[in-house]
Amino acid sequence: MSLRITKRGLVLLTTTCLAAAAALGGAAGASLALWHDRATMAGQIRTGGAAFAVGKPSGSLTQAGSDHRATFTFGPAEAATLLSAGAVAVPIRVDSVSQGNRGLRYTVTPPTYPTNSIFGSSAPTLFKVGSAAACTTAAVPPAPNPLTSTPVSAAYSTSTTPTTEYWCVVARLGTLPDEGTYTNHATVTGQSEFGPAQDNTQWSAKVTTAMTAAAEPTHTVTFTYSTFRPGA
Amino acid sequence: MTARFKVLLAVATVLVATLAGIGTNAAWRKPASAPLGTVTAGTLDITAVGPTRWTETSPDVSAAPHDIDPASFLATAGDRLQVSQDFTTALEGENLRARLRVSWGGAASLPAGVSATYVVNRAGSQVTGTTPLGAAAEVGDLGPGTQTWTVLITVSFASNRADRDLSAPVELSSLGEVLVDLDQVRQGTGFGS
Repeated sequence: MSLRITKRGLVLLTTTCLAAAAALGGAAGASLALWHDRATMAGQIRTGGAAFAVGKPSGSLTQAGSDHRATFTFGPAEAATLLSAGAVAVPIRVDSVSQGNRGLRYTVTPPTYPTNSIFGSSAPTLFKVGSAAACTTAAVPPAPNPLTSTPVSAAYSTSTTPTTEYWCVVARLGTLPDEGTYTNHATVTGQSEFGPAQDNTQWSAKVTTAMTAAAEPTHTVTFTYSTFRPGA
Repeated sequence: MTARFKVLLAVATVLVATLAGIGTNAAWRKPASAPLGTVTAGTLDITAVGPTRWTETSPDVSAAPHDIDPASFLATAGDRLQVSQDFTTALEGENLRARLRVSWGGAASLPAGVSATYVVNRAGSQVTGTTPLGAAAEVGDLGPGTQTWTVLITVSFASNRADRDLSAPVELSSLGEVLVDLDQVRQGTGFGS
């Protein structure tokens, strides 16, 4: 048997097949797929940080580096005050922030004063004070005088407001290495017609220093901090 | 319409109907009437239950474990956190088996010194090994019924990781997009292979 299809018949046949396929869902791939369902979840969390800086109370502060150290320096200007006023007090501001479950503590290392410097001859002391205003030449170090502090506890915190503390260097001018008195004793002996003769003479002078504030070396106070967990 | 064309049309109609009968139509979810009774479609469904829960479990924090808000919590070195999300699966149907698979759509991004692993729990019991975040894990041969699942992620911040400088850009630990897929399988219990 041979089939002969008219053009009109061919169009009708094609239309019928397409309609049937569309009625069954259209997408043949989907119609044969196994079932699938999906749920999702996501999330992210931030990391807390720490900051540590020191400087003059009224000036800009110097941030600690990756070595967790920050330094404060003083020298000629403060030495000039020490020479002229006989005493000087140098306040230092320390700002600390530590977030999350970490506290912050630090130690203070005083400068090593050269013995032939003005500060080195003035027995400077370094101690913590309650405020910048409390740092005066009349201030005295506490006893004992710990050179450590824990400004931030390990209690959980999200604060970005620093805890501020103050330290103070106090120096009172002492005797400088090239300063003092000079005394000259002279004795003369001879022979006179009356026999041996001798005379003594003595004079003294006060010797003032030749040291100048401008020549004072820079002194560095080092603050080293670390952070710690609760209970540590 | 000629007789021959009618024959051809009939053949084509039967062919289309036969092809349509092969396999299962994924979209069938409604009862379908039939002359000899009613065929009810099965169910394969997974649904997240409740919000994702973040818990601090740091052993040295006296308040732990306690829930935290990831939008405001600031993690630091030594912290340990757990992230959990519950899901329910429902399977209903004859010869219906499924597989639960955890994978990642968007990659996790953890900074140096932060690590994370996860496990999958079924009704509170661990059913996968501890798996690094980003690696897939699956549980196979799920049968009919409703079950509760938990994807439990543990995030650890190494105790010796460096303090983040507060002036540095914000640092995020991102879990990525976790995909939990429930797929019908034609294997396992009740199947030949």
